Amino acid sequence: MLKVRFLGAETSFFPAVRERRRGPGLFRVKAGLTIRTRLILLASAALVVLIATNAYLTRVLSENSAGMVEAAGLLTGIEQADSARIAFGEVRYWMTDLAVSQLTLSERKAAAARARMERHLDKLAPWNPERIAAVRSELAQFDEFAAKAVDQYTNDRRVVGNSLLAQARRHSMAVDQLLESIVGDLTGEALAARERVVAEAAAATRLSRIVVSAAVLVGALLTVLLLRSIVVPLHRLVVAMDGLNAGNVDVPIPEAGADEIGAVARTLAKFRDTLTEERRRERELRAAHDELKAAQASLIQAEKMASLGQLTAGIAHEIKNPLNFVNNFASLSVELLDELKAAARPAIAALGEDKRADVDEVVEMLTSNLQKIAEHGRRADGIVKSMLEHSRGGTGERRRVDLNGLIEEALNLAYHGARAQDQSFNITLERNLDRAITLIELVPQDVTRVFLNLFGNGFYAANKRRKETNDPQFKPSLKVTTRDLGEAVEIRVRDNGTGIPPELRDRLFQPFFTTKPTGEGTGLGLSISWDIVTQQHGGTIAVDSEVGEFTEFTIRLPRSRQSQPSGMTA
Amino acid sequence: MSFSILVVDDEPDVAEMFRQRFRREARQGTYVLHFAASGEEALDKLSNGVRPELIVILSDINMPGMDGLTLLREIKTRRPDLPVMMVTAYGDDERRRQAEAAGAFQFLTKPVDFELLKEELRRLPDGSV
Repeated sequence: MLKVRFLGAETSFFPAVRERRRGPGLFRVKAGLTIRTRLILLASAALVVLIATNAYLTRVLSENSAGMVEAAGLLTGIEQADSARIAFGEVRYWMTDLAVSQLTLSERKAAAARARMERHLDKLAPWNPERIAAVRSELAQFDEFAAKAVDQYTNDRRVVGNSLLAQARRHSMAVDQLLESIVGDLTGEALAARERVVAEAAAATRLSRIVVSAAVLVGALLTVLLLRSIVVPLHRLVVAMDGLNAGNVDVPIPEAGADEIGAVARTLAKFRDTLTEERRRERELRAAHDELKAAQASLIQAEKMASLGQLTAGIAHEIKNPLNFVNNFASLSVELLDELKAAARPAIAALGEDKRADVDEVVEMLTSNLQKIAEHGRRADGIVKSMLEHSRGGTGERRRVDLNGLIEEALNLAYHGARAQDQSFNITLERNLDRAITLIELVPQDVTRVFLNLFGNGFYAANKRRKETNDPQFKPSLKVTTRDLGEAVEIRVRDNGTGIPPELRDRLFQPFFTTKPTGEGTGLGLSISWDIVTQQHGGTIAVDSEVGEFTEFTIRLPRSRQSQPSGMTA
Repeated sequence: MSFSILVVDDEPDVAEMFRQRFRREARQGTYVLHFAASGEEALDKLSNGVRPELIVILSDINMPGMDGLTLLREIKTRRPDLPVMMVTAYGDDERRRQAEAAGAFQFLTKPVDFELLKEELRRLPDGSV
């Protein structure tokens, strides 16, 4: 029973082992019980062993003392039997003496010895009544013969007395023999009882030694296991805590058992989850923050563009009227001068040679100046027109068109335009057009303007690099790539020209920003393109470039229109 | 036979420019130019009667007070048959559409191409010289 209880306690230390049979798991204690329960179980088991051992030893001791009492009883019996023999010897002596002497003293002595013997026999009687009865019967016959013998001797019939005495002697010998055998038996029994007691005590000692040793061993083993079951998970927890403290949320956290360490592990796991969640939130926040920053930057850029666009439109309109007068009055003045020349011809002809030449020269110069005013006025007018077109926006109709076709068209137009301006111009055109692009809704004439601008810029940059490098191996090239992104289409225009230094990229889309020599560019092309792509079509335009290597513009046009029509109709 | 042209513009130099541009025609007596610096003044002139016969009104759109499009609508209620040409620096579609809807005869953008204008004038009813 002790063993079973013990095993019960022992197995309950290894619920994981019982349930899962995991390989090295005999010592890998999974705590199914709380530490308190485990300690109570261990202490109880030790106590049970102790109490059981104690009870057993007590019982053995009490049995031992009973054996001792029995042995002592036997010794008393031996004493009584011996005393009875001695008393009987006295009886015999005094009876013989009585028979011879006929003295009352002898008779009294014999009776006293006889009474003593009776007392001893009485004490022996409970031990073995049958044999004592046999003794008493022999004794009675002895008494009888002895008494008769005494009577015969008293009457001096010696012969009869002698024969009676001989009979009495026979019975007295039987009594002696019986008593002797009783003493022998009692002595044997006492010896046996003593041996039994000694053997039982030795066996009890041995057994209690074995039990105590086993209890100590098992107790020690269980203590070690118990300590392990606490220390090992505690150590894992400490490792996990250190890891978490160092900021490593991937650190393994020990499985949570049902005990106190399990509770700590659960709390730690929750802490880890909280930490992970916080990290995730922090990352999200940071991403959102970055996005916001980017959005803010692009908003600022858009705002700059919008205000610049409005400013441009305002300036254009303000300039347009005075410019109108400049142009008109300049050309009018040319006409008026002609009329003046015609009207004054006779008068001039009447002048002297020198004067006439002077007048002619002044009129000539005036005419030329007025023509120059008109010419530059027209140039300014062209710029103003571009600016107005730029700010106007949203004039064209949206149509569903084949983007690749639009690009091909613009590419041809740009190429032949460039060739017409500069006979030495040449460039390799690469088309990498995604034929799977389906029709897309946009304002074709405006998007074409964007393409013309980008292609024109690309041609210019590639050609400029060709002129600057003096490398006959250098081949100017422009590559147009289109790609269907599903919800949007992407157009990449890449040239291998001079590239754009990073410090200029921010200003690239600002109106009037140009790197071309005066008269070659208005600085409005990319600004207009930016407006058309972002404002009018709700798309994006981005630039990537490396000085002396390439420039690549990436345009994305969404299929669904998200932007409001840009309302710059000032 | 000479005809009147009424030019409405808040810029005073417009008058000078038209005078110079139409100097020859004025000298020949083809056209008589009249000027109004505002829509209100133009309507006054119209109600007072213009001599010789008014065949066209040229009007700016952006003007302080009554703007050109309002003037156009007002003229159309009074003299539905009188051609009105809108002359503006703002050549956007929206204004063009509004002008057409209000019954403008022609929509010209500044700077005014006077050769084209004279061509248009010659094509006016009773405007052929």
